[in-house]
Amino acid sequence: MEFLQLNLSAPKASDVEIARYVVILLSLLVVPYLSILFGTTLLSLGLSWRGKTEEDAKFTRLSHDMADRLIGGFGVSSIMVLLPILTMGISFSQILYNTDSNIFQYFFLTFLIAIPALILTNMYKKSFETRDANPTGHYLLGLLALGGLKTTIWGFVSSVTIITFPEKWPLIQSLIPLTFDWNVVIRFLHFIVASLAITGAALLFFFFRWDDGLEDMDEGYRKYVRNFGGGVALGFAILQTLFYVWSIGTVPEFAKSMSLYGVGVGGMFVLFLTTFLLYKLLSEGNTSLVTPIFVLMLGFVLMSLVDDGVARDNALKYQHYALDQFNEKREAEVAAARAEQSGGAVLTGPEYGKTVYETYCIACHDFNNKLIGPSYMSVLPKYEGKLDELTEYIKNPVRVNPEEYPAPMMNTGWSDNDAKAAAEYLLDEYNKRK
Amino acid sequence: MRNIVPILLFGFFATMSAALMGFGAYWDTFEHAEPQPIAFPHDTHAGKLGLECTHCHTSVEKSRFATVPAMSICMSCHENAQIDSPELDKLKEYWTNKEPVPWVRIHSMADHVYFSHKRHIKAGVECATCHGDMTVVKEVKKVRTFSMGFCVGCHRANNAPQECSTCHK
Repeated sequence: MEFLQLNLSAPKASDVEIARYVVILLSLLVVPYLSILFGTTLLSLGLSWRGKTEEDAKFTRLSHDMADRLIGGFGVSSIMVLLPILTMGISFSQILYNTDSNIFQYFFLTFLIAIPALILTNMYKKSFETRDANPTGHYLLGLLALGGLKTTIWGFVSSVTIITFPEKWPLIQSLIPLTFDWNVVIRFLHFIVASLAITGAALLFFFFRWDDGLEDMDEGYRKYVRNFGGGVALGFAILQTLFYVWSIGTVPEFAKSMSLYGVGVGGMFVLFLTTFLLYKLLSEGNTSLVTPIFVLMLGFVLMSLVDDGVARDNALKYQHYALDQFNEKREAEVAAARAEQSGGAVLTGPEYGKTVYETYCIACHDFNNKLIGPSYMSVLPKYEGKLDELTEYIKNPVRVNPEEYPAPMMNTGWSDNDAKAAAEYLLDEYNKRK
Repeated sequence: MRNIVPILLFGFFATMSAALMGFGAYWDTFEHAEPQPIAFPHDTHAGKLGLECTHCHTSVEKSRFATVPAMSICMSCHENAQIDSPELDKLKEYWTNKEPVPWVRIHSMADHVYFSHKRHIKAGVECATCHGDMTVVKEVKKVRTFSMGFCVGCHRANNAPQECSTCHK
């Protein structure tokens, strides 16, 4: 699995900034589309079964119409699900560069699971043509598609959730244990409930508005579709509120901020408006409300994705700093390598030591006066003729006089060459001045 | 009857929003740390200057507690270094008035947990494992929840003792 630990080049702060928005936009494609696919498959399969057992034509018809109207072809699904999942994996592995999060692996596995799931869903859609001739095949395909979509959603939710929990990165190293983390389970259930609410709203929109609505709907069927879509959307929108509050309330302490709760309350308001319009639609039978309902439902999805983004950014603040630091270091290394390549010989000797002294030591030490550290004239006598010992001390300083100097000299992490050059200069200068 | 449904809906969402705001208020009151009295930049000291953690947290290898550095440690450098910073002016004011700096505590263990810094350092656990990379952040923030799962997970991964009495003495 090592090849899945994608570690691309270290991104700069500006790249991360772009990636943060990219992942929200991509999830705005995946989340509603996957929700509608799952919700439609589940509801149409249920209706199809009910139509068969109760021998009522409206159930049978609605199950077929839903699959026809709401399940896109494999091409559309690839653009809405497969490509975004893979791109999100790459974007997140950029954001989480140089961490032990394994993030690309999770997205890649989800991508692999999504391929058969989408193919099966498409086959299920086509199986309506042969439903009467081969009912077992139809129901079997429906169940398989449902299982595939459920697994895809679980993988997707796991991959996104783990990012907000950095402390779990080193402890969870593969997708299967990750899916059983209770934070993931709660968010997975949230996704399922939300997907039914979105599907209900999508059903209303695609049956009554999109492309001038579905043709050949008689009054009884229209009423049934309206009540079914509206009822599902309303019921699950109310139920998902509980999960929504739960998932915001359980983000880790370091991912919390006032904007997390602010956006959360904003989302709640959008959801309230949605349910209010759904109630109006159901009580007054006013189907002109389907567009605002669908748009508001998508608006709520956007707000919860933004809220997820806020929690993620809070949790990853350290990672942003670490990337800056990493880049600074890398630039310095590149500059040093270039200088060496262009023929700069390694500098040595007391003359170079003077430059080292003037760059670093001078901040705390003077030859005659005590500054932050002691004067050289007071401490160097014990190092007379002991160049190696002084070099060693510069490299590994220890507390010598804790009464007067509670903190030891800082360990600069110098190279042997720099430490030796500085020691040579200090002893030379001491000998001249004593 | 019809008019009561919108009111019920409103009531439900208002309650849920209140619950969210309650979470926010709880976080703000009990979990959200106040700003520190002096904006001490860890990245400058541990990062740019390359000071070891033990340079200032002198007890971490010797005691259960890492301890907040004594002011004399700050002053041993800052008596002279960087004298024109407003943040250092604050430090000097505390120093002159002989008052301790009222640092806000960020990391704390539950009372029923026995934790020793010394043992962890001896076992080779990096400071950053629990506290995050302090060479890159200005302000100290919790990066681990210090929940039992976090402790046990790490103990398990590193074959460290897992008896209850190891931590709950």
